Amino acid sequence: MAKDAKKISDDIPYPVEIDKIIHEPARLMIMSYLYVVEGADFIFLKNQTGMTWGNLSSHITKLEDAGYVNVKKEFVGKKTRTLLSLTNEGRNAFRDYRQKMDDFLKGLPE
Amino acid sequence: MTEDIDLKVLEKKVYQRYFEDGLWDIFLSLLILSIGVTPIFSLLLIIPDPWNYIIPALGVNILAFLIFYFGKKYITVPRIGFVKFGPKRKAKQKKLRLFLFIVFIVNIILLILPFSGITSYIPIERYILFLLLGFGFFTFPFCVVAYFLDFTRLYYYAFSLGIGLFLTDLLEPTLGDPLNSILIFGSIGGVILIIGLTYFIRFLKQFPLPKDIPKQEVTDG
Repeated sequence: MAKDAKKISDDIPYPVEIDKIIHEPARLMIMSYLYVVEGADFIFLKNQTGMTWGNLSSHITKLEDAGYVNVKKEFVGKKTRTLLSLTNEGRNAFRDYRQKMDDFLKGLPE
Repeated sequence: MTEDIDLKVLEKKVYQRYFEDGLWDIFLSLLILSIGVTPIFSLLLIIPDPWNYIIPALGVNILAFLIFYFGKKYITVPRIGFVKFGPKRKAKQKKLRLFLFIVFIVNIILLILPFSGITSYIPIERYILFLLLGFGFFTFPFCVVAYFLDFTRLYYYAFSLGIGLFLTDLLEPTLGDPLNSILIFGSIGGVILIIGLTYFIRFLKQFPLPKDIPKQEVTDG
């Protein structure tokens, strides 16, 4: 068993440094959409990702806690709008994640 | 997984989402229809020349802007949400504004030229002149706007309008003025309006107003 495990890890490098916060599919979608724009509100992200309000809110909270997303409330007339945007740390983390995934996938045997 | 995420394509898709409401098509159709139907209004309105042309044209254009502005604010954005686009997209829009300003100046010059008498010295066939005018006034500027806005349908509208101007002149001996422009621009504007309304109805079905929206997420754009 141990010999088999060693052989597997020789053929396929274990992606130990992949950011698991971003790697979750729902959060990866959120990060991707926020990466290509300066900011977006909840309605936009809900439409694009197809998540429920609760699910979206939960993932945004995790990203905010990780320091990747900034949640800003601003006034539009008498109503408030919540604008979500990636922090500099979030943008760097997303670029880093992309690079590591590219390297990992390119390193896989044919 | 990540190589499937083409970020440029994603940003373009996000931006093009704002054209799925059909409001741009409705806006353009009304501008085109104002060229076509203004002569009809001018016959009905008992006001002196040229106000019987200017007032209906102005009225339709103002209506077009109002429909576009309030449609985006109260129908589109509450349904698809609000996005602040990045610096590359903003730079593209700045270039578009500059281009439109240049087009405006060039069009003013082109409109004044015939009155200066210069055009009488240009040995050019009338139908070629109208082809060039169609290309210069409509096709080329609209194609450039389509490029900057990533608004694909506008390329087709641009060519339709360019050919439309040429056909208007071609039909003048047969139908006379203003029936030729009513027919051509009325038809083009009508088709674009139908396309716009189709997109608009599909948009309303695809993006209903969000339900159970948390109070703090309410936005009016």
